[in-house]
Amino acid sequence: MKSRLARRWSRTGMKKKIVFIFMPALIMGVFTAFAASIQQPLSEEKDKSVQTPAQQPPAKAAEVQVQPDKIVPGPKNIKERTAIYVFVGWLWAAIVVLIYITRLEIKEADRLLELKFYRNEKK
Amino acid sequence: MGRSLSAWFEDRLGFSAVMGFLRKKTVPLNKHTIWSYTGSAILLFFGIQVVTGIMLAFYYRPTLEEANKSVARIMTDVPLGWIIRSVHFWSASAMIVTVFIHLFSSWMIKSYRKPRELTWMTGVLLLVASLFFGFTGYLLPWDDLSLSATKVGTDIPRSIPIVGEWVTKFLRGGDDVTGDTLSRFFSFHICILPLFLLLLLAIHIYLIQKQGISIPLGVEAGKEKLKELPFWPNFVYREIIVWLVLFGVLITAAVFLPPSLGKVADLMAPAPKGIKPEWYFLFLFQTLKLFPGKIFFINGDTIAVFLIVAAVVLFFFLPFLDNKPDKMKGKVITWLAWAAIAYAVAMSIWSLLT
Repeated sequence: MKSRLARRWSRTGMKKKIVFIFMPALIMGVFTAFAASIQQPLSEEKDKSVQTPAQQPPAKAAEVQVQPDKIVPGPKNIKERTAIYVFVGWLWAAIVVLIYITRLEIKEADRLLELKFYRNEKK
Repeated sequence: MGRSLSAWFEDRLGFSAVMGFLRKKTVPLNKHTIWSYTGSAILLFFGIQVVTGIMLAFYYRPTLEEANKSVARIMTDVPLGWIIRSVHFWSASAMIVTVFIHLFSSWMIKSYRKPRELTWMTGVLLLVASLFFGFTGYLLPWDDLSLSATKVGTDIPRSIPIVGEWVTKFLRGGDDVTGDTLSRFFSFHICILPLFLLLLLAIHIYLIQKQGISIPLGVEAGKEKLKELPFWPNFVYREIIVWLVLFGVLITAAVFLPPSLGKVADLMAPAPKGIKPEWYFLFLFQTLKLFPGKIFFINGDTIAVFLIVAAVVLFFFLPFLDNKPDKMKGKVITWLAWAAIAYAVAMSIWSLLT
């Protein structure tokens, strides 16, 4: 038996509206990450740190040779850390809502299948 | 306006024929249907690999001097670069896990029965291509561990009589692992293997559309009633749920467990202690370690490599070996599948612990 909210959504087309809100939001989130990563590196200052020793003055070349044994990646500061946690939380919230809506769609599609709705359409 | 636009595209592209095909396509509904989701999961992870791989290629430089530095730059300077690399890393592992699950589930339920032999064979080639993807990608960060693991990995074919030496030289681009190996592996990783994989995927998907998804033995023998689910929209909606969950798990793993980067590889340095390949090669690595230097007068490694190649060939031609799946022979081959899984897991754990 459908819940009151589910019945209301089926009637008003709310499901489609929410999918239209969440799906672009999910795509935009991923696209933003993509866009952020293909833009130029953070600053000119940091860019200099990856110059080859040949391009740098001798004193700096020696500095570059000293490399840590291991680079452990992760958020650089509290702002980035918070942003990432918020992003993961938002991602899961969007996933939960989309799963709920998709489950309603599955129920509707299965109901139509039971009614042999598609069989008439195939003809 | 919207309707006339869709009619314009319909006249030129004929999408309604595709939709008509998808509406007629059905998926058998039984206790094994869950394994059907692994096929689309592979496609999801492959798509993520392609997107993140392109993003990494914007910054990666496949040269001896720049490879490690450029990966370090991706991880430290490029905005969200470490997440992109982490997603690429985790989706590679997830893809290989799902390819293994997909193949072994097909083995268990004997989906390779006539007329689906070629579907199985393209699937095995897809597994080999995925493993080679992982192997070539492992060297690209050019740190001490990846260099040593590649030296060990490319040395293995040397044990094969006659062609072994040539295979090793072909993989390395010379006698030893050098900058040439790096650029060669990069070409394999971003050009040759993706083209090969896309071609195989296209053939594999075409064969699935042509032959349909296999039905269980019990249904085929008429012992059970066949239940079916329309692919569109009933099955696709279910797949969307699986995709959403997998996508969420992947991003979460990438954020909280990003892979680190070791010190830049030194070609003259001795191999560090405890070199191990990626997890999906551990069972092969441990198998090779088990063999002694000499068995009678033959090199132990040669025998090990010969046995591994023989096992892969038998795995490839499995549909022809398992030609009576409902008889005793078929049951023995199913037990062999369980034995192979148990062996791979046990060997991998052993290798991790030692």
